Amino acid sequence: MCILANSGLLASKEYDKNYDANYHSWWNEVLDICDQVFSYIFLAECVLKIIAMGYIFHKRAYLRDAWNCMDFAIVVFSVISMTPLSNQKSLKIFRTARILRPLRSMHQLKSMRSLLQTFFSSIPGLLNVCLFMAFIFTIFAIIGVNLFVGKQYQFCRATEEPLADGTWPISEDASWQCHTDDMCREYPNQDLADAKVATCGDIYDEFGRDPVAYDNAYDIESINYDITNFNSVINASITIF
Amino acid sequence: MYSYMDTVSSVQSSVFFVLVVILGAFTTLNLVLASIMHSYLQ
Repeated sequence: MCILANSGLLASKEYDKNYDANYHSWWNEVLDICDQVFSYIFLAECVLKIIAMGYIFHKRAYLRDAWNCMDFAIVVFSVISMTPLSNQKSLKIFRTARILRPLRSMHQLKSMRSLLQTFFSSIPGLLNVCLFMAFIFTIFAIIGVNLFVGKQYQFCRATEEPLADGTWPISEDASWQCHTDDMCREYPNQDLADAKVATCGDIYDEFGRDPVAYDNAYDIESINYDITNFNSVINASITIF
Repeated sequence: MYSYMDTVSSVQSSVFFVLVVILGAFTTLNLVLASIMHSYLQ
């Protein structure tokens, strides 16, 4: 009951319009008091269990059980967060550890406990799946690099040739990606509108220049700000992931 | 996928990305579920 009530109260904290974590309201003050009360209740439970079961040396001692270790860590974090020390910036993490308290409910519910145990026991098997996944990603990354390296920088350009300063401005009338000049016309594949609006070109392929420096690729939304690309196997693996 | 369909070829890029989704996502997800189910049944 205490764990459920504490979890509900943790979720009901109020914030102002700026989402200030130190926002003071009467409800937040009530929550702070309730938080201290719950911390004392959990501390008392922990102390009583240690007295009844023994601390660590006994065969069935309190800290011999993994769930109790988690409970103990949460109680220790709670105690530290109640001391004036927790106001220091580096120790504020202990206050954040309060969000671990709902985890205690998993220990109490048998069905949840078996699900968690299943998850932890399947980790060795999942590692094999991860290795297989890395293998698949690497193969696709290599294929992707062969097919797509540098291709995403092909845009409709405003001029036939790059300018004297080395830049090749992207057309404002047709600022989309392309692979033929026809795609840069206003109405592609139509004879009526065969006037060329722009030239399709890639500064990297044609002139070996860095698209990031010459095209400001980091500012172009349509190529995802150059975060995802197939320029190297590592970048391609991250892109596929 | 649509970006590379514009800049390379519709067929090449659609085949590549559909295969990535089938092998990299669906198959892997099924393997993860199979691994968890295997542990659960044990």
